[in-house]
Amino acid sequence: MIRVVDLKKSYKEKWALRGVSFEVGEGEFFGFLGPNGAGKTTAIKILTGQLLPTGGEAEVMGWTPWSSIQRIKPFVGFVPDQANLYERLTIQQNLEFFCRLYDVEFRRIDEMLERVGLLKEKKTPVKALSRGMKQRALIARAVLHRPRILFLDEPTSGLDPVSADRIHRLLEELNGEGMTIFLTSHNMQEVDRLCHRVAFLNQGTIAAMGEPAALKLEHASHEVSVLLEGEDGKLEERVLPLSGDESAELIGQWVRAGRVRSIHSNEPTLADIFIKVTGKELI
Amino acid sequence: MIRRIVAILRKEAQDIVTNFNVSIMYALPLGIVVLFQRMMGALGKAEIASFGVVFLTGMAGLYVPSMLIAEEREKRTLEVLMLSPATAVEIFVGKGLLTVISTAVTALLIYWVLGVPAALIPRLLLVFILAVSACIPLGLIVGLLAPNLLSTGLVGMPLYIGFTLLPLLSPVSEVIYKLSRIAPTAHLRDATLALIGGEPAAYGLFATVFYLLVTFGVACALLAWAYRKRSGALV
Repeated sequence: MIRVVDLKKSYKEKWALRGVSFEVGEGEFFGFLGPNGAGKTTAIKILTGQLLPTGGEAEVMGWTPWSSIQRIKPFVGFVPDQANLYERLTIQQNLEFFCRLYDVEFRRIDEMLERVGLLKEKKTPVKALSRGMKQRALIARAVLHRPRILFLDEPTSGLDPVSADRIHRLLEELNGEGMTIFLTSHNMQEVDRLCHRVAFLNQGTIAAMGEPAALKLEHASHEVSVLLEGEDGKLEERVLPLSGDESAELIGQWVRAGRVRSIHSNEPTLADIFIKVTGKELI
Repeated sequence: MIRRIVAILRKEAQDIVTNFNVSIMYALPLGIVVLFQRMMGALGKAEIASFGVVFLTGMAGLYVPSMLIAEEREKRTLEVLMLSPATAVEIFVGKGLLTVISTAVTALLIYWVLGVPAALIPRLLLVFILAVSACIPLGLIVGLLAPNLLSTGLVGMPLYIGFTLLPLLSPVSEVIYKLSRIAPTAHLRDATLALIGGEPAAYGLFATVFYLLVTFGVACALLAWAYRKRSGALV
């Protein structure tokens, strides 16, 4: 669905993208994870035909975005990082406008508002909505025309956990229905939860790419943490190698003695991996 | 294409009703005409009407399109609009049509308030629509160039002053008269004075219509050039 080869973008002297390459398959949920200024928004703007690259190639559904954007538009939805609805109009008026532009039946409005939990607010002017509500309205607008690919630029940035979780569940549903989703984020938990594959973007280059679980295993310390109750009743943590007779023997002894309170493998988080491969934090 | 233009026109009409900044641009010329009629009736309906429509063209014909585009850019709604199936031409035509229709309705109100004979309305409206159509692309250019909504007034000020004041001050001096000839509003003023007041016009109605059509064409060409220059910075 999306193919990018050695994509570059510079703004005068500053390079936002320094040659990134990746592919996104149909039905995949793909994440671009990186701090502010990494080039995530630039990448998404090039793929949606809003910016011309300095070099490289990109295809969305087989067409080049910057030269064939009119062919791509009916198949693509876009949720920007900031709400850009018409504030003086109601949600319904906003969505009716886009239904007319996309030649989509109006009944789709109620259907989508029901899904995003805004049906009761449809006659509310957008300026009266909370940030979380605006973000859900943006998603409703972006999928009105049943796009095959949905681009989201930091969709839960600045939202409270409950609102963010609501959006995450909605995106999971949409992906479950076959929609290809391309998401940019600097929220590690969001990407870990939602994405089939993730690319770490830092200063315009991809530092690592793969399935979250595979990346964690690749960069894991292969150790296990065991929380033991001592004879004095105090808890102590012991870290052991994940393989080997010694670890097996010790863990077995503790389990038989009833001293183990918890046991878990020490996999790194995506944030830990990001710091390890880039030397920088996700902020 | 027609469907999308109508959709944009409809949305703009819904928005304009709740947009005080835009509504005032129509109310002000109409209000001033009513005031002049009451307090300075001796000026005559031709002079008051010409003042009203020139002021309306400057305020609404130039300023409103610039505000519409500048606000879309500032609020980033232009970004999603350009990602929709609507093309730039459809967006500009939709916004332009809204300005033409709304200013034409206001011009009709001006003529009605002043008691302009109905037989003159079609020709007056023709010249008015051509003049405002010639100004709209220039207003859209101001909206494309202005960094934000607040600065549209500053960026477009030379145009607003030139197109509004020069025609109104043209009787004062030969130099101002010659300078004002560039502005479509000057020809609108002449035509309005000639049709309502029966005064001889400089070029005649056909010449006025021809000039306004040429000005409209040039303004559209300038808009196309400005859009190509700015398109990378619009989103």
